[in-house]
Amino acid sequence: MFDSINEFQVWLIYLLPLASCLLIAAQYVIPAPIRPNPRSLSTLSILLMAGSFLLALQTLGVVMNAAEPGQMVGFGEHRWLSIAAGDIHLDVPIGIRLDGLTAVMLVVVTAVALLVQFYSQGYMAGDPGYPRYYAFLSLFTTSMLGLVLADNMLMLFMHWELVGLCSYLLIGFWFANPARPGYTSPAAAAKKAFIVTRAGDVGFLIAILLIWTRTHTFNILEIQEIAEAHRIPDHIITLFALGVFAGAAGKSAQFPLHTWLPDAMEGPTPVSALIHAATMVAAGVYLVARLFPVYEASEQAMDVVAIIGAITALVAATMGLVMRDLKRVLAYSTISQLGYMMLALGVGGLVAGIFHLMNHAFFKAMLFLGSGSVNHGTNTFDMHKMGGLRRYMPITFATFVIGSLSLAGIPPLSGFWSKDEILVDAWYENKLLFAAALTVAFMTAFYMFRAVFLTFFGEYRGGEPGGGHGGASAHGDESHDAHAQPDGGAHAPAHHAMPHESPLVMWLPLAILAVPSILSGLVNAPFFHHPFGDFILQSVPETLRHEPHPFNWGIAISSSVLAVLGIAFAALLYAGGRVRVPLSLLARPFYVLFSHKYFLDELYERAIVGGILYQGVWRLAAWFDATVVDGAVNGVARFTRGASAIMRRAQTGSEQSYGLMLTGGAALMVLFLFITALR
Amino acid sequence: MNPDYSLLIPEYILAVWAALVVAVDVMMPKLRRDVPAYLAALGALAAGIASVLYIDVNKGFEAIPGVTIMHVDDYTTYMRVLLCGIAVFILLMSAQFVRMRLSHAGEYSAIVLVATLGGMLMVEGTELITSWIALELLSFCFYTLVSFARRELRSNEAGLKYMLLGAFSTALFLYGLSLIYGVTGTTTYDGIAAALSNRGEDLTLALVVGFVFIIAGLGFKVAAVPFHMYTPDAYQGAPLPITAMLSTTSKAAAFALFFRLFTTAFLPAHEEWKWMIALIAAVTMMWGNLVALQQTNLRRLFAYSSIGQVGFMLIAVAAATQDAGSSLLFHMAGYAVTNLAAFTIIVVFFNREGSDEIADLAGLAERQPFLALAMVTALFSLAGMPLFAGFFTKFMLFVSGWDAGLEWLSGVAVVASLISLYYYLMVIRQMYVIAPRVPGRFRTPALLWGVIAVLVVGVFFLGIWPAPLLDAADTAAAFLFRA
Amino acid sequence: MSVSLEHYLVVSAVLFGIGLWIALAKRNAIIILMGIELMLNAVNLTLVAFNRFVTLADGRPALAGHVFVIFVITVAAAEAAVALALAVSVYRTRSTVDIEQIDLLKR
Repeated sequence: MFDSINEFQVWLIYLLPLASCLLIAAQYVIPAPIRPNPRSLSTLSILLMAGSFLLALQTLGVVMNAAEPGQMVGFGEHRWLSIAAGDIHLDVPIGIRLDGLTAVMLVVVTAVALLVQFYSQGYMAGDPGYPRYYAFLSLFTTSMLGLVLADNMLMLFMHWELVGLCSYLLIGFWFANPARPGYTSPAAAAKKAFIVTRAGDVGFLIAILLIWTRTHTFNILEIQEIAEAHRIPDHIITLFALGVFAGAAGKSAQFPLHTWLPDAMEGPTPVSALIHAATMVAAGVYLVARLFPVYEASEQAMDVVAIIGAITALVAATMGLVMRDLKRVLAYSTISQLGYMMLALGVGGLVAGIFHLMNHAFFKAMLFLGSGSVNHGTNTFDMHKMGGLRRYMPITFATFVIGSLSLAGIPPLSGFWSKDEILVDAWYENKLLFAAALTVAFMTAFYMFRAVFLTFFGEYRGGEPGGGHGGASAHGDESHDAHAQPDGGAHAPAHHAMPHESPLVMWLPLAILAVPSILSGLVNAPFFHHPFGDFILQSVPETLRHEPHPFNWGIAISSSVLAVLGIAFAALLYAGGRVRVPLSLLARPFYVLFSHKYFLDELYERAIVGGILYQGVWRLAAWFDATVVDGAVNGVARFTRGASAIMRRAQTGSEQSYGLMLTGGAALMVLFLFITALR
Repeated sequence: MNPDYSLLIPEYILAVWAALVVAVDVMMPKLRRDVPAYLAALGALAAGIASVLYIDVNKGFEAIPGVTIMHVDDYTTYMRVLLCGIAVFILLMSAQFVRMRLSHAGEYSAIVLVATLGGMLMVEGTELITSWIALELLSFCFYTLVSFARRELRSNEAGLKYMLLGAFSTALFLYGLSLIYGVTGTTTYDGIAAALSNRGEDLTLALVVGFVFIIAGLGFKVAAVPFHMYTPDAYQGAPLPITAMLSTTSKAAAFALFFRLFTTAFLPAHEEWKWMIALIAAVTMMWGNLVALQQTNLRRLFAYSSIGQVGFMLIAVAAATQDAGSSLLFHMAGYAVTNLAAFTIIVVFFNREGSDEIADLAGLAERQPFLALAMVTALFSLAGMPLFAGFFTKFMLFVSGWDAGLEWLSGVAVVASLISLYYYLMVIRQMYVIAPRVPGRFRTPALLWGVIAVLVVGVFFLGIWPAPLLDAADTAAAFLFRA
Repeated sequence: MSVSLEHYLVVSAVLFGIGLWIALAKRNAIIILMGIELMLNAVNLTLVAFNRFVTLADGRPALAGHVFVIFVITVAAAEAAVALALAVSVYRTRSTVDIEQIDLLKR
């Protein structure tokens, strides 16, 4: 079974979700009364997804069983179209590239997609758009798989745009809902996500055009070889790498294009788990990893990736510290972790980056699904209205804590291993980046456990009876009731006495995801001699297959200690069920730690400084992000609209001004020609 | 040797059919007013089928020995089929509209056919006088059609403005032609090319001014900035199907003429006009897409969107290479299919609601989900999303521009393309997010439903399997670069 | 002093300029149309002048210019007919042909 696989089977991984999308779309042609019931459609979709997952597993097995595990399994290319015009021959092939990197991504994508589809049966139950939701989800999965399988830039780019389109459709799934107070509406969030990620794609597309005219190939392998052998000038390689990175930064929400991701949380939570935690946002990281030899060929591009990654990790982590909304904490955490992965790639840690991508996909998907489960119980994402849920939702609580521990980097959970590898790689490359990464590790532990304590400890603070998340049913005018649905579906929100555990379809995926969240780190554990690393490294040329850095006890211990400290700090501040922490309390941890020392007063001062830091600088950072960075992104839009308004005035409606403009244009052209041609 | 009159059968069909439609309309006054349109659509279909017969024919029409005034080749055939196809769809979407809102249904349909005939002659022309007369034929038809709703203030205002500016630009264009004739001593494309390549390095004043005025005249026809100013007004004032025709027939024919003239007659002077057109292209795509952001009227939005598209197509003219030609032809077809789909939807909406304001599209997704979905398809295609026709056609244009050394221009085009997404999303938002102003669902008439469905399928087909059309476009463009 | 090609060209350029000025500066649609006619006549003059002075490489006189002029005259007549019809139609609905006042369509 794991000896060989034919090409069609690999294509089936891609085609099965596509079939499910088309079948669900096709049933809309049938008159409404005799349409199949939505449940059967989702079952069909899940079954096809499961088939896709099994094939992905088989593919992984085949790639592992190959003579050299992880090496590329070649299939021929198929001509999609080609034109021969003059001396230029443009061939646009479609083909599969199958190696260690692809196989791992296939399994991650199909596994998370399968679980999310399963989970959505509960979460989306009763939504009138239920079939549409499954169609979009399947289309998204197809696009994502196409992106992963592509062996050429054009096919990759097309699927890249398609995942963006699906993300737009899914974030805006509850498009008719108005904004909840203080947040953007789903429709606006969807539009923002689409436009901002596409702004990054401008760079990506230009990079593709650039590389095509220089090399006359779209094939990724050939481009890699050309870049490696430096057969095109170095500045072209750098420009290409940076252009691609612009696209990757848009999709993977890297600073300063990260502002769309927090808003994207207005979409259904399972969508956030699939798209905005595990797969699409990781596509940027995947892309950089796929073109890793190109990046290795350009020092500057690597530096940019590393620095942008570090900035993103830091900025987003500080943002995560002060959010009230559980999903937003997770969103900023995702941005921060993506920055971490980029940082890893930037310092040459291909294995570390992909390793973290995989681990992160599992535990972050679980955390998002967990937050959806919490929302199902309380009807809100506002952590100030939760509390004490561990008694009511034990399974959700347990899995959420596992995920948080893994994310915080507590050994031996999966997050620890990959984070440790990134730290080690950074340590040997640049101490400053290492320091940034370590700081982020501490903050991660703190904000995750702040969320855990606020959500699950203390006393229940009542949830939200009717209102709550964007999907809540209390609003939406009459005509739009068809679309307005509670986030959490069939739930009757009005009588919300006490929260309770979610149904089996929802907690089972959580439980399943808990397994890789604990164990997936072991596949690249040092005492197993880094099998995962060897596997991934087969996908890049031999010259780039660095030996892994030895396991460093010092780094492992210091990062673990910092993580524990972060958790302890969060426990001290928030475990008592407090929501808002007064300044004096912020000093408490310092007090506890240092109270037996003599220079107590001085420490108090420092603690207050620390308090100011927390209340001041971090809040300032949050403000900065919301106002300046987001403002700059919006500012570009506003500037564009302003220019548009001015240009519009030229259209006076007077025939004469039109004629004048026409003549003036011609006169200018004569002038221009004289200047250029008669120089 | 006598000219080979058999080369022009599609043109004869159109001319005779146009006369026939008028005659039928005159002789049967009781005829329902949508019948002439259907009748004329049949004529356009017949001409299209006749055009297909000329595949692989490669022959000149010599008015007098040695003077080839028209040339029938694969380039001609491609454009003939495209123009006839456009005419069929325009007439189908016109039928109900004419019945509801216009008089003189016979003349209307006949003039649509004659405009198509003019467009076809523009494509074939390989001699300045012929091409210009064809251009005038097309223009006169459009002056009449734009002001066809005589009693509507907007329609005849748009007609008058369009006519005066059109005549004005014609004068400029002619002055340019006369100067080129003076420098080269001939009016045939081949003769001009020969004279230009023999002229050595010196660039005379007459030649420069000639190029500029010709570009201004053709720039007016295709609506390139700064010669575009009539476009939004004409688009808004004209009867709706004519707006669709302005954005497809007029543009396609003018571009076909533009490209043929500049890549056969003026190619030896490529270095001189390349930058001029590239600059116009850049300004056009930015201007069109930026001003579109501010529009509240659907037709004006499409006018500016089409100006933006003109900028993209001008990349091909500036590049003037064979693959630029094939991507231009390819893009034209993709753009025509997409735009016809969008306009058929607008026509259905307008027939029912009498409004073409974007604000009135509110809630269309609830009132008529099919129309809204089809509109989304068309808009995504215009924005250049993969799966839809627009992605690949645009991508090919950018590639060909980049290949011809116009990297910066392709870069600008990518940015302009991003901006366009923004206003297309505004329309989508209006249809899906905003609650309807007028409640109540309505149905799309069966015929137009079918037309829209066919066009939407076409958009997807070109997006997913563009190879056949691209091959055809490539064969067609190759004819211009045989030498 | 004999009259050379340059003289004709200068005259026609001046004529073209006058027509251009009229077309851009006047507000009455009919006058604008007259300006455009003047521009077309400048074109005719250029064409005829070129035809008179340009000989082809093989020594034959050029003829295309003459043909061109005949077509220009014809088309100009047609143009005037269509434009006047439109002007009449506008005048019927608005009682003016002052194009400054015909600006319903803008922005």
